[in-house]
Amino acid sequence: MTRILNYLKYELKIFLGSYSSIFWMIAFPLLLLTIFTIFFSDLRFGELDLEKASIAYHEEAFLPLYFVEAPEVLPNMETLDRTVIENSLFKGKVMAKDAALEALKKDQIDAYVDKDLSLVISKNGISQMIMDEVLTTTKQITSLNMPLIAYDFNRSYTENSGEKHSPIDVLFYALFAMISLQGAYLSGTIGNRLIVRGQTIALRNVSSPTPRVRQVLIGVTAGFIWTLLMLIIAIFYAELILKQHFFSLDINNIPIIVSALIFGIAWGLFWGVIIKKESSQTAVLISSLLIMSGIGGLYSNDIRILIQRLFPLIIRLNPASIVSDELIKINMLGNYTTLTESVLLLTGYSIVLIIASIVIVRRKKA
Amino acid sequence: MVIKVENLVKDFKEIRALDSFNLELREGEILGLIGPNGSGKSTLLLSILGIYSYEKGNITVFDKKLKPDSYDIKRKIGFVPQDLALFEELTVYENIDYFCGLYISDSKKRKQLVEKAIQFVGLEKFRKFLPSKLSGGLARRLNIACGIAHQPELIFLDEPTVAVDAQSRSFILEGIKELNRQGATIIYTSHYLEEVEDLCDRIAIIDQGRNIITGTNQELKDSIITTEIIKISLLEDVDISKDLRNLAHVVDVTVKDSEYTVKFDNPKSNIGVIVQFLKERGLTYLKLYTELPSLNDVFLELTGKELRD
Repeated sequence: MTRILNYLKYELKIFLGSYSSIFWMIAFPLLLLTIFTIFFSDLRFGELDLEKASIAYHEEAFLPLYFVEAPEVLPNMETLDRTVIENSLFKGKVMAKDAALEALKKDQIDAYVDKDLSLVISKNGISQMIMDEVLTTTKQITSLNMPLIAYDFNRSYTENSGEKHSPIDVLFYALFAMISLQGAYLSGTIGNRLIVRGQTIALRNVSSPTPRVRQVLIGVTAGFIWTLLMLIIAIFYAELILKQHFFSLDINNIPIIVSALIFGIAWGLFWGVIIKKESSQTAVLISSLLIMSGIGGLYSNDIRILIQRLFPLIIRLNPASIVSDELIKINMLGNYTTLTESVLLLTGYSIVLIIASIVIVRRKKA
Repeated sequence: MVIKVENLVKDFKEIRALDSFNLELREGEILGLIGPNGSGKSTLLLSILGIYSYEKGNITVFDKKLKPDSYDIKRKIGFVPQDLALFEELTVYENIDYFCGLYISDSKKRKQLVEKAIQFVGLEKFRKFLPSKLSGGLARRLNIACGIAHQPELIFLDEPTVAVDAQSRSFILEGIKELNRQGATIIYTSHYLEEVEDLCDRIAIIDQGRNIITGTNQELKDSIITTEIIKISLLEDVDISKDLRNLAHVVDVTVKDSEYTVKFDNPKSNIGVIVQFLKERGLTYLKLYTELPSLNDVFLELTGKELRD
């Protein structure tokens, strides 16, 4: 046990001694988290302090828009003035579509909401984004036949589709998914150390009486612990420093996080045994994780929506999408319907990658 | 026999790296492997260590075949690779402790061994240094310490003095002798002939994956025809090579940069013959000296090329 602890200590030192690992595993995610918070935290509707959007709407869109913020006392629907609406998010007036389009051109309004709740805008901006979010969520509620009065902007009333998630939250959860896969950087170097002709250190390790499986297990355990630590740091950083709440104390987070960490490590191990050169290996790992996370919605929910429309299977099979979807479902929706399937899928990937790594290492022996 | 290699054949795709290679390493000796780069020295070591598989032949280490799970044999072996195999992020002490830990699980014993290894390679003042802060020679010493800290019975040293300053080289060579005195059997590769001559009990000359000859320094020199080499530089610009070849016992004459190299197969001294030869022709020499055949001459005669080609 002391020997294993000794190795875990050295693996940590090796990790902390590498500027590249520190940047990609610690600094980069925290930097992204900070940037996302600075630019998008207001859009999570947690602490709105924005000018109200000025909109026009079709008369048939009145009710959904009116109930965006539930009134304390239900109004008399017969005497309710349907020509204007004002709440904390926007102020609007009923307008014919042609007139509204003219008003949009002249910048007199920020957006027009048509009778099917589609949004017409003439330019992009915060107000337009807010309205887009409002309408997306309103459509979700309508499609689920939920009472409008139960609307809560801090929640997404959907079952799973990324298209229906809050666009801003998807970015953050995709980032957490990326962090949970970052163990790949650590296991990549561990894998590399086991290629006989890849690194001179591998010669020492392989010619020693410590079984290679044990060396891998120690390295992988270290990778798992330090990645988990990085994820915890990121969560605490978001909660305590950035004041952004993403994770609830739900035990169902554990299986998806653990399987994500294992997948990240298996992914790194696989590339570590294939690529000899450390710089090439880091480049492959960084780009692959950024692509996975990008598909999962790290850069824009629109990209994710587009991929989902064109190639839905990619979203279902992409590890980062799987992780971010499950984190959203668990922490925002309390929905666990696909959790087991997702954990099994990630575990399956990990098993395949680990077996492939072992086979490659054995073949490289000759 | 500590190591026995019989008819070993190892290919890298179309290239035959080892060709029907035979070798024996006796207990307590230092066996030197010499040969040019790419001759198969490192491939041989890695094949013996079980890191490379091979096409044909048989290798036994401590009378057993070394398999990936032969942990009892591996425990007795120390390996110092040709390139530095160190963690840049760990200090001198930690590097040695890390690699020693692959062999020794008892932490108290390991601590003692690591301290001994540090003293052995003279890195006491550098124990908290990172490898990047050490000079080339000191880093080489650390590389050696990592391979021998667990006090192995059999040590593989693959060109441990490459790119090392004279002081560190001397320190390393003395250290190797000391390890041998302490009972370790050593297999040592190098292309520094003087080191091998000074250090090794027996020497194997390797070329193109073949073991050309194995024996003591003297046995190797006795195995060639040349017994004496005389070098001459003349004041006059004349060609005397043809006449030199006609002298008794001369086996070869070469000229390089106006210097004649004359090889004799006569076990007696031949310098008098040369002096007489020059006197008869009224030639004046600028330089005239005699030397015994070196390992390079052995290599040259047996393979037809210089070791440093």
